Amino acid sequence: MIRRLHYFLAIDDAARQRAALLSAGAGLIPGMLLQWYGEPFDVSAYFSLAVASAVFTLRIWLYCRKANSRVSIKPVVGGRAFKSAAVAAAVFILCVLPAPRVEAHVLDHRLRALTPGAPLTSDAPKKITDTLELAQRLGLPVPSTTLVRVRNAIKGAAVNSSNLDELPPAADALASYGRSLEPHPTSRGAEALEEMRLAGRLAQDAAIGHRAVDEAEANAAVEAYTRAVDLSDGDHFIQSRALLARAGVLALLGRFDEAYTDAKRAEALDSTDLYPIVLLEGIVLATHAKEPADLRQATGLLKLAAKMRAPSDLASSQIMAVTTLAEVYYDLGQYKDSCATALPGLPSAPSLLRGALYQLLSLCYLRSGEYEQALTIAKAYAARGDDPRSTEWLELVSNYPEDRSSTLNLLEKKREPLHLTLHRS
Amino acid sequence: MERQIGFWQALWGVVRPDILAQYRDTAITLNLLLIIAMVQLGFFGLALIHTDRELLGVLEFLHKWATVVVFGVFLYTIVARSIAVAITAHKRAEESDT
Repeated sequence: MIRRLHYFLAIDDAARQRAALLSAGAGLIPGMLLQWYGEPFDVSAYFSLAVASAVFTLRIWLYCRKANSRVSIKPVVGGRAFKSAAVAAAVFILCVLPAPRVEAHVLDHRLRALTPGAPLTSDAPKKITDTLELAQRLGLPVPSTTLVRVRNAIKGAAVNSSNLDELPPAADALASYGRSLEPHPTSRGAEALEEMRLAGRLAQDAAIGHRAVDEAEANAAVEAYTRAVDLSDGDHFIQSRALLARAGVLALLGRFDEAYTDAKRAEALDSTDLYPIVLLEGIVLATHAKEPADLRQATGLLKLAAKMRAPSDLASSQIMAVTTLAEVYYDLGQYKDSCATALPGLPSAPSLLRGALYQLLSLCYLRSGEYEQALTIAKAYAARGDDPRSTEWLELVSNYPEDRSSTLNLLEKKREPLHLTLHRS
Repeated sequence: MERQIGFWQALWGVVRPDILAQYRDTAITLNLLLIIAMVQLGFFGLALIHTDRELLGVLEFLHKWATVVVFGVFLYTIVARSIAVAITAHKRAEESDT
């Protein structure tokens, strides 16, 4: 029996391969069936391997029991040429296979599958985030058509106010991936990049401490970005970056319609930098809204912008998203949402906006029936002493319990809408 | 004159058949894994031409299980061989003692 065992293990390749094949088949079927009927994969796999091992052992035992039969010695893998060819094929595939390209194709396909024409599924934003972060980490090139498709899907979901909790990380991942791509400029493109660097410094100087804007510096930055756009020499990548950067400075100057035009131009050039696009579209949609549906669309876009990571050159614009969102909620009659949005923005608001924010907040609280809160806000507004309208505002809020409807009407007339303040700033 | 056989030569004489058999088994497993890797590439291609997700899912399910059993059986043959070699060595030692 021991001799048979030795023959089986060392010499009779054919019998060994038959046993392996049989045990593999015997293990495969119960494992697949178990998983098919709902067992977890690991449980099914261990069961499958247990069956395969039992069958293999049984085959060995049966083989060894045939004490006097002849042992057929027929190596299955006899030819050296075949083995060499197999090794050569493996090495060839490993060396020649463009692995990054295959991986990029897989990620591309995954992103396309996640962003069909229909609205995004509930788990799609999370998967988009993971896929884009992986592509960025591995430096894999995702085609621009796919990135645009993802951008449009995220924007569409924001406009429809769906998947809003998971959308900002996906939008951030997309923007981050787009920014990680390196430009390959022509000589004029290199000049454009130089202009952009200059403009970037000017824009930084223009936004002094995120509280006020140095108009002269900001205008110089706009001119430098305009030169960069002209010098971009048809390079969509550089041109869209320059347009979005110019849009950011124009937004700082309160020139939202021009900024929006730049953002739309950059969007048409396949830019994936979603932050300025959704921010400016949201602000412009909110300020020019004619129907409640427009306001609701603006809400989705502004919510997305408010929760996204603002790029460093647009850090001061985050407050614009927050204040406009609060204003849109107010116009839609969602006073509690308006208060909840505006209150955290108060400390970081520029001085020009702060007065309008105090007014909006006290009105929100009055309309929500929280008079004490409204009075506290009006008192804080008056205590600042930097706005001559604040004293009159406090008096009106104090008179609210005596004559509610006419006081509210009067306060509404006196209130300066935030979007007008943004334009004025 | 009788030729002297060294320790390593003698050891090699004992383990050679098992090592060569293991080498042949490993070659076959590697070939199977190569085939499985090629099938995986085929799936990439199918995904790129937007083949039906459900069909791809079924194929990937079968592919996954094929990988599991090829690996599993190969690992078990190593375990079985180790046990069997230990048993045969023990028996031989007993026979030489008697």
